Amino acid sequence: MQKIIKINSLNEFLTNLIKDYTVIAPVKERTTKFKAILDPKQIYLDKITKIPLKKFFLPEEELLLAFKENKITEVRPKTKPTIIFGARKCDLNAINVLDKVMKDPNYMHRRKNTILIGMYCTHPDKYCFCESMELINFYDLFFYPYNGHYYISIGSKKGEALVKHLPSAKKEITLKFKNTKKIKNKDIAADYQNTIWETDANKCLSCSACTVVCPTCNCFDIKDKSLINKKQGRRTRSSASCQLKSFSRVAGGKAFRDSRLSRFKHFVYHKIVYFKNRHKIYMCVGCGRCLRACPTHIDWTKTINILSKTKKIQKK
Amino acid sequence: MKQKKENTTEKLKIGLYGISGCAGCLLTVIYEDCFTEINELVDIKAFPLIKEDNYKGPLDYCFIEGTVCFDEDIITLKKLRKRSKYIVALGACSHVGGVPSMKNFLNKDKVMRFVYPKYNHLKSTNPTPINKHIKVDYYLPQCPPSKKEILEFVQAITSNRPFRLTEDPVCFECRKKGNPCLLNQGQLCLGPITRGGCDALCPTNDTICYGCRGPCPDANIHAFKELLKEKGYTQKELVAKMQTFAGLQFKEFEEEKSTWLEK
Repeated sequence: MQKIIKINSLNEFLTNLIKDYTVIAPVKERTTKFKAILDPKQIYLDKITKIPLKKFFLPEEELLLAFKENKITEVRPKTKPTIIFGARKCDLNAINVLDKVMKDPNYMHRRKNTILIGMYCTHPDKYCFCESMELINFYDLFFYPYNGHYYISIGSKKGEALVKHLPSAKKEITLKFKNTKKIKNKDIAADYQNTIWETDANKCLSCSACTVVCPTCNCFDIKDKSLINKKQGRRTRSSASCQLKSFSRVAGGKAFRDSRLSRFKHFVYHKIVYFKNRHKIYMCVGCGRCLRACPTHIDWTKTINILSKTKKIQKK
Repeated sequence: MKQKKENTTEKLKIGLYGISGCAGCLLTVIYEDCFTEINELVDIKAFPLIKEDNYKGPLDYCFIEGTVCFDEDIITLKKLRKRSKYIVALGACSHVGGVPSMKNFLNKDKVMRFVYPKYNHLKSTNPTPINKHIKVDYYLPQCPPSKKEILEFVQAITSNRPFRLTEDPVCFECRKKGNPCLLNQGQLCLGPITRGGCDALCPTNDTICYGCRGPCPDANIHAFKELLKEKGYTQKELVAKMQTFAGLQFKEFEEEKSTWLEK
């Protein structure tokens, strides 16, 4: 059963939410990113955000524990009940992916405290390929703009409580769009040794832009630091990137993924093959942020399509 | 009380010296939030910039700032090397040559006449980083070096922990901060090929990276050049940017015969 709200009265609906919750929505500053808002006019929905939603659940530098002499105190995040508004379908599915992997108390605390409100995106650009990634409906509420109204799909009881006062829609509206970019055949497990990957890897600068902006990349690094008196200290968690040599460096100085090629292939294969084998969903959600952010315009989706094309020719 | 006494006797003897340079790196050490903490951990025996009578005996760690620009500099360096157990290159000048090293790629006489038109008796040599003349054990890069890294280093040596510079490029820290990419905006930023550790100070303030920390050990300079060619930059423009601070090291890096500590 869908609820309905006029497009003009959305601001009123959000101002009411801001009173009780921290509302996080896409805004446009130096870059487009998700940020806590005080005024619904700040919301910017035209383009996909450059900084992904994961930054809210996995902060860049997170304090895990602090110690003083022999006393250790674990630090838990103190967040108000939060609403995430205006997330796209790919962003929401990325949270679903993170849920499968991240099980630590800090993440779980933030996750339980959050209500996800999605927004149908009217303008997928030339980098979007979410259609190919078999996305599911994963939301508490989802807004479809149609004919001067928002049709609101309800995904959970948490979400239902927010829209109780709104009238029900007479007919159900679900919209579908078409991506220009597609991945046709995602079965690339047998092509690991194919030399086609070298062209992409040779272009790679190892700048880690792709992993930092990826909404599902969740690798992290844990660092202990002591203060100058050596009696106090803190343990922090910050994000790491598999595209850097230091990521696989172990004691003694050996780096297991020494070559750029193996690092690049691992990124693609983790997203498309390994994660699917283990968790039955693709790790990639098709938001195209890695393609947009790459300074050298490496397009691994193109490479996969070339692979499937050559396979077809071989079969014939 | 007993512990305190032991601590005072155990403190490492430190010297801070400068050869030809602007003394900016030594000045960074004197900043309040840095100096008091260093002073607590180690015994600063010699510091000619701020001290009048300096200890002349053997040192444990000797920090040296500046580039070798005269023959006298080499004599001072060799004396300091004999006196100290470990030599620490402080700042971009002693690490990679810094701004003076730009002269290596220019006509010496022309530069000489341009800067000093009247003084014909001055001798002009090629400015070189200190590791071309003596063995250097540690490097603290950047112009000026980051206080955070200096403190980290002093903490590491006083608690017998190994000290290692990061091998990640500036881009990693820059992206983590959520800055818009200057390269994608069409500017010639050296972030992808420069060693990180500076918290992306320049790109965060909308200024391009000049590569003052030297090349990142894993830099893909070939791909970077291809990218700039696509964007319409010439080889000359790129080389000029690379020569601002670390021209010598970038050149060696491309020729793959780097003599610097970590390749």
